[in-house]
Amino acid sequence: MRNSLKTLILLAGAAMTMSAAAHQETELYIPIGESPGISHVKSHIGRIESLGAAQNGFTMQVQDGPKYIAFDEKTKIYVQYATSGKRNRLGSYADCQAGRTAEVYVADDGTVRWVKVLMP
Amino acid sequence: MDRWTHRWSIACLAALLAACRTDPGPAPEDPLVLKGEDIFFNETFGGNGRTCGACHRAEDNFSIAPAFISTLPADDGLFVAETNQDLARNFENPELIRKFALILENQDGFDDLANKFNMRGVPHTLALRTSIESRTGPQTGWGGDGAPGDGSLRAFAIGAVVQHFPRTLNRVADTDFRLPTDEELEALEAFQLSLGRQQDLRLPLQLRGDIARRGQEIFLDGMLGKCNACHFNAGANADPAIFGPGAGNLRFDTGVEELPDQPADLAGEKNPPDDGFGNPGNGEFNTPPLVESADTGPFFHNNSVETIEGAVAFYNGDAFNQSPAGQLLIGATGSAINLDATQVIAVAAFLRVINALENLRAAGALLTTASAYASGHARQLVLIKRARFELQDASEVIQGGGLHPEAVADLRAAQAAVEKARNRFGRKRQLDAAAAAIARARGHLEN
Repeated sequence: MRNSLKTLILLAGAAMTMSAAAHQETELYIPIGESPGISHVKSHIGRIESLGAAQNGFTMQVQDGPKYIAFDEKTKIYVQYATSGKRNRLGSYADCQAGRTAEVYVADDGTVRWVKVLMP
Repeated sequence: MDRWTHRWSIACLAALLAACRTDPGPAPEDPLVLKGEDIFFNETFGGNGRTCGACHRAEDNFSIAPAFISTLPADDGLFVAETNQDLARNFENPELIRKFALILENQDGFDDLANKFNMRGVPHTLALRTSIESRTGPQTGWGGDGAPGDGSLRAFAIGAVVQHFPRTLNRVADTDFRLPTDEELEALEAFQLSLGRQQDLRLPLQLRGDIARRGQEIFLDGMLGKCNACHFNAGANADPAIFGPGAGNLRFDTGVEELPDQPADLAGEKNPPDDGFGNPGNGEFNTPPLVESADTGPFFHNNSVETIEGAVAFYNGDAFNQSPAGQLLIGATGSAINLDATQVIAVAAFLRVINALENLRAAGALLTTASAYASGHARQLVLIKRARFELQDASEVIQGGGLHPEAVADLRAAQAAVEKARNRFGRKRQLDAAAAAIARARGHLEN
């Protein structure tokens, strides 16, 4: 019994543990540069330089120079109004415009989990 | 005792306690822990008046239950939705707070506050050092996804401030709240990790009660109770012999959401289904530790079961046995969990006794720490008060199950001594008397 339990649960356990990711929803309200354990560690903060032709990302200026940030269907875009005190909101690709400051969280698997865009 | 001798005593005590842990953090009376404690109970972060302690009450095992809520004044921070017009809608459901201690969470996002929310109980913050690590990182909150940022306990406080502390639902940082600083996060983490057990039990224990001892056997039996596979040593981590070394805290879909006649639904209030971990959720919730369970009900993420006996019986029912976790267990062992009433009671008795033993351990440690301070030091009263809560819990947990009547007199003696120790005159003598009574009570429960 012990072996069958071990085998079956090992398989299930492996499947379960692959899906882990931190809950991100309060990120909407956490200002650019202040996400604990992410900002300045796993994120890039810089100015959006140009948009991708396929509307799936943008080039931003980071410390090492220009970097292309490619979104996927799960990438969340958070629009922030920290400078004017307005309520933050979920955004879309249309909110990503050249010249705006953005923070991009690139997860360990290389996917872009979220983008925070600072509105003027 | 002069000031330096006094400090030296506390330092020695702290070092001794720290040396007993497998993963020592700051000692209980470390300045960082004390700073975190002050923040936890007093800091409102510029918000609506709530503190972390508004829901995680020291008097109620760092959780909160309806009976305790009923004792709170109308202007308590818990009820801010009743007193602040900006938070009157879509922030909390006052009826569900008062009746069932359910708190509103927007863990799947803030874009539709009227419809996208869940009502969850307040998980206690005891034994966190033993219960939140996993192969895939920290598992915080009921769903294992309670924190923003890197998902750590440190980051958890930021998510809590955003969710529970704002002045208005605009939730604008530096207007509706301020975010904790790095130093505050560090202190809050240290304080939370200092609470409760610092390491897991090693079962089986040499229990003296016949019913609890049988309950332990059932708990550990892989073909009967099957509890130990996921609640290894009655903690929050998975059995490493089954799930592999370092599996830590795992999440399962155990079907709690499928329970019929859930109290919050019967109240007729809006109570959307809770999809657990992730967004969209996968139905999974992380495994809570069981040592602290008997005095931290109601049970499960939605406070749907009031008693520890009912929580054990849950694993007999269709909701669990038809759930993904239940089906997994049936596939692995060839049968569903099927305990008769006496067996349910026995497992619950076991959980009651190990909870009481932990209460006694905690009370003893608190009183030892209190004794190390100079007599009359203000900190003594804080520690004595917490020890009183622990002893009260031990008494209720044991008596609630009709267990160990022979221990009741000693528990009462310990409580009486602790009560008298609130008076600084003769405090040392009373603390010694309480410690002796605790040792006697413990001796009735375990060899």
